[in-house]
Amino acid sequence: MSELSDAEKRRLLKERRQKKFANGGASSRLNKITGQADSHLSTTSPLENEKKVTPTTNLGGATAFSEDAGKKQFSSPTVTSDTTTEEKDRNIEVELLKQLAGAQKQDGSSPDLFSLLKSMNPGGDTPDLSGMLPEEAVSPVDQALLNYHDYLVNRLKAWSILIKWCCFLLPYMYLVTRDGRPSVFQVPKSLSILTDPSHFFMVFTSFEIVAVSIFYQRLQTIERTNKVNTLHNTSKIVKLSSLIPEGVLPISNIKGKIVQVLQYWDVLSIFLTDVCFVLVFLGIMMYI
Amino acid sequence: MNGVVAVTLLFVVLGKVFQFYPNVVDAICARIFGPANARAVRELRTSLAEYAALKEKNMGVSAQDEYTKWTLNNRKLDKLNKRIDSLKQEVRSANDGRASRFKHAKLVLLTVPFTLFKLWFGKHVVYTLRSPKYFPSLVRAVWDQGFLFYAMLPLQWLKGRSVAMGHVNVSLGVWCWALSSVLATVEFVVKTLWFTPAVPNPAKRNTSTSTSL
Repeated sequence: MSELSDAEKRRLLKERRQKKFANGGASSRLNKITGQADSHLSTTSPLENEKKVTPTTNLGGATAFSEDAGKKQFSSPTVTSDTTTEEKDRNIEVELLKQLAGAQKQDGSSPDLFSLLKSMNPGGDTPDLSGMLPEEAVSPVDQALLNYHDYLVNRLKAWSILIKWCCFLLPYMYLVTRDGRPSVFQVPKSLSILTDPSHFFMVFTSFEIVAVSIFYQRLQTIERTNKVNTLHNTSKIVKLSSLIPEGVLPISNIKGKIVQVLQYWDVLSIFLTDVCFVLVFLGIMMYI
Repeated sequence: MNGVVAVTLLFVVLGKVFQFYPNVVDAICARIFGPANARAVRELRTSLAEYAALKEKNMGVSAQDEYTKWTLNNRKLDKLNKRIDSLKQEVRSANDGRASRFKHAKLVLLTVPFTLFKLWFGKHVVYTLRSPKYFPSLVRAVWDQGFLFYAMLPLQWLKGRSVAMGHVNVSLGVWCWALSSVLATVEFVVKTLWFTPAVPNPAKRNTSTSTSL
């Protein structure tokens, strides 16, 4: 008896539930559970769509889609009342992707990332996103390359100074200042013209020209290997001049002219440093 | 070697000592004038020792069994911590003050006197070159009269004065300039070749990591 009454009770409850769902109670129940009783979002539940043939509705979130596209999207699932829920979801996804692919061709109707960025860019051109991340990733590599390049250039400068001073200038000045007095090295008579004091400055200048040419050739090789321009990357003056827009000053190509001046100054400073060394050593040789 | 050259060399050596051994100079000044704010340094030392002792003692106290004692010790430690921070701040500001006074003293006692010395004795002859033929006449004159010679050259031409001269004297001003240039270059060479660590090639490093992957 109790079993029958229990079964009867269960049957009655089931009937009542089905009646409630048939009268649209599912969505109200859902709203009560989720607390969206006052929400303007559509509260149609799939369970109700299974029972009745309801008119198509748009999802509130997909406002960027055109109304026709939205209706077209949601009309197709509602026709097939015999398909299962999963198949219907898959169809919805496929329709969404088709809409995205088609809507990208429309003007200002697609919510995708590229068109949003396009609208932000005043030039109207699609920004090169592929360049953004690699640039950020390249900057630490560039800095490491710059450090390596500076290291190589400094070593080149140091070695060139050391070799010039120790291997040429010192022995040459020693021979020039001997002037007939006994010396450690014996110069052959054919080369004695080079150690004549009156030819000292000419020989010194010729040597400087050759040495500076060799130095700059080596420097250019390093710059070509590393693809770094030393002056452009190390000189603050060049960096500042590159900020000056063309046309502000009455001089055209101001950056190029500044670079040229700095290059000449670089050569002159190398020459002056060697002249200073000669002067100091000549003073020391007074006492030897 | 005459006195002027000796004083110049002394100034140059002192300048290099200040440049390369600032900590040594600082220690010598602290020894002579005493450390800045000695009272604060003494209090800081005692506070640190007190803190260490109390912390060790508190670690042996059980927080559950002797909660009151543990809490009191913690409060004392917090108080000591604040005192130590304020003392450290006092010592730091005293040291900063001493560093800035040291910089001003260096400027007043070394830089300015050396500059005035060079200006006063700029024309003093340091040595005479063995032969006047080493350099052409326009360069020779600079060693004696300085770079202002080029500024005065048009006036000299107008007055009809010739540049040629017998002995070539090197003046103190020019010699100081040459000496400082040579010393700076020697520093650069030594630092670059012997005291700069090697920088690895990033291109080779990237290829080696990609091949290892």
